[in-house]
Amino acid sequence: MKTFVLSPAKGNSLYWLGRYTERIYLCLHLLRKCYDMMIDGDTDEYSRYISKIGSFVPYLDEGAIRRGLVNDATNPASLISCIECANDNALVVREEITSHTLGYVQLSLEALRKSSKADAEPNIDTLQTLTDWMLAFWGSVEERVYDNRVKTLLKIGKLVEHIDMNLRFGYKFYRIEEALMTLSFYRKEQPNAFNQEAFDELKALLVEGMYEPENMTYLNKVLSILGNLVTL
Amino acid sequence: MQTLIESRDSVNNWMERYGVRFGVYKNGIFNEQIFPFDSIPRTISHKDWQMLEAGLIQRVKALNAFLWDIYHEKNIIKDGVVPEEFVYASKGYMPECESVDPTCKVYSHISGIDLVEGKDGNWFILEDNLRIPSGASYPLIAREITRKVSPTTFIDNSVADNRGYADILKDMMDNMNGGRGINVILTPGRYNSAFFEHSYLAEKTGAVLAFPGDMMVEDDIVYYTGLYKEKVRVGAIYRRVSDEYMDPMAFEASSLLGVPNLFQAYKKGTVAVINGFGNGVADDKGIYYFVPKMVKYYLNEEPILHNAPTYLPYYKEDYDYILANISKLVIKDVSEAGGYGVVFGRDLTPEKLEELKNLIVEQPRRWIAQEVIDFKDLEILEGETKVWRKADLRAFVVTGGRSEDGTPAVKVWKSGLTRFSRNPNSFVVNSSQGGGFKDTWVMNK
Repeated sequence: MKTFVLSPAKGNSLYWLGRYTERIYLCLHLLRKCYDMMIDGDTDEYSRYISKIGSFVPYLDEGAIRRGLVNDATNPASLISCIECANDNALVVREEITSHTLGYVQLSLEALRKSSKADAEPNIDTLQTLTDWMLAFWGSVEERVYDNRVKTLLKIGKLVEHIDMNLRFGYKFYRIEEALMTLSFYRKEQPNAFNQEAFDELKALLVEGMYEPENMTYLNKVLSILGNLVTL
Repeated sequence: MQTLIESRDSVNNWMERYGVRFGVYKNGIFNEQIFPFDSIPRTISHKDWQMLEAGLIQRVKALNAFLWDIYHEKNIIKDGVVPEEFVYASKGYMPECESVDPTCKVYSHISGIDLVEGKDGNWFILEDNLRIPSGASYPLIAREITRKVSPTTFIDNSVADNRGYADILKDMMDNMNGGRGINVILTPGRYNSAFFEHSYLAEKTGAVLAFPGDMMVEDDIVYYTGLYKEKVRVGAIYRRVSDEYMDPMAFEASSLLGVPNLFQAYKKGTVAVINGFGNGVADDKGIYYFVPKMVKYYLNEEPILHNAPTYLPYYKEDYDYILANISKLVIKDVSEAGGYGVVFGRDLTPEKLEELKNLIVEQPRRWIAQEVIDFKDLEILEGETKVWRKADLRAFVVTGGRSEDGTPAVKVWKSGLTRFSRNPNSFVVNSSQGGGFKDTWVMNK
């Protein structure tokens, strides 16, 4: 019988594991979107992606951008950096999430490392497999994790990242609203995990009439509150 | 068996998937690497195992009795069986443990006993590891994987199932805990070489994996600090941190790995620490020489398992023999571990041999010498070729589980870690020095 008790450090790792796995999933989606736009000659799509995701590493040409956003471990915004961060957090909570669940992060990391030989072009097939593994990761959390607090912390991380990325990329308000509603539900379940003041402030800003992600002042304010929302 | 051998890539993929790695520091840089697995298992016959099992139980019982005696009555010294300088000069002897009573008098709960099989089929004990022996998780997960990858191999071969190690461990931890609180496994952290093992055993035993800073002591009771500052009492700590770093208030003051005042709680008997404090005095390479004598002294039995022929320069006769035969002996520095401090006389130049002799003359207590055992080579796959390499076996003996008569049960795990050298000319099998591992099959018939 497993003992259900968590330290603050593990709580923090679970939260960040939730955030990073969601970021990986969404980055994969957005990268594929960039690739698709490239077909029709919209070469600026990568630049937009870079600025929205907050990458500060300069790349010289389109090829370097494509490789860098996937394989450049020195760029914190790259896919491989996100997977490494997810892995660092997953390894320290193995006994909470199970080796089976951890396996999907490990598989993703190894697959990307193997496919990312120095200057190789990112492999679209591998990227799709990573998406599948991220979905499998969350399926495994549902199936194999019995401690509700563990699940909740992972999902809080996932939802916070979901809101963050949707804001950055200016997605429609209903996507944010849905995530915020679920987050409010978890707030009731684990009130101590949240900065209550920040939560109220966030709710006041994330209403349909006020939602304007293209406005940088608004966007930065919401992202900053979001960054302080969880206090583990 | 052939299907298992052919499936080695699948086995390694599964290992990768589960993050089966160990960490190595080289030039101050931490690297994690796969522990190379060879899919040809070592097999131990049912008959050999029965002998090994009985011998290992006997040896570990004697070692636990020795530890109790050394920190209490010291009869073995008074009776002249073990010279006192071997005890008190040992780096592993801890005066702080004098008169401290560990739970159920058990010191070494998990003992890793290293053996080799000679070419003549005789087994020899190479060393006892009674502090924090590691390695059980590797054959444990390897078996789980090989059973998945090649089920027919296990249908065709009647191999004892080794997947119950976590149950043996948990039973022992529960018994030592006595219902006082939760079981925890204390790891030094993510960058410890054996972190995989710590986290995997926590998962398998249902114990909480505790990191430095997760526990505190209040009024001699140990607590685990939960998510929102709740305190949960700890009843047993399976620690993977060395004695000296376990409590900055009692030992190394600069340690950030331990729990302040833990030793005080241990002395009061409010928490079981697995393995106990002060065990290093019994797995010292110098004390090794005396273990067969301990078996006779404490158990009044003849030792079932034998040491490799060993000489102590402390005794005049041995001293003379070592200096006269140094070129054919293996010399070990008693203060080293992990395969370090081991020198084969035959590999040294005449000048280096002279230097070593001088060191032995200067500090005879620091060295032991052993005959080089011509141990059996095992087949391993290198690429597509089968080659022969030196290998040892670490057997795991768990003491302290529940038993019908209430005394702490002593169980030998029907498996073990078989480590092999990847270098054809080397006898050193340690993973930290590039060795690989195999599954260990104990046959049912």
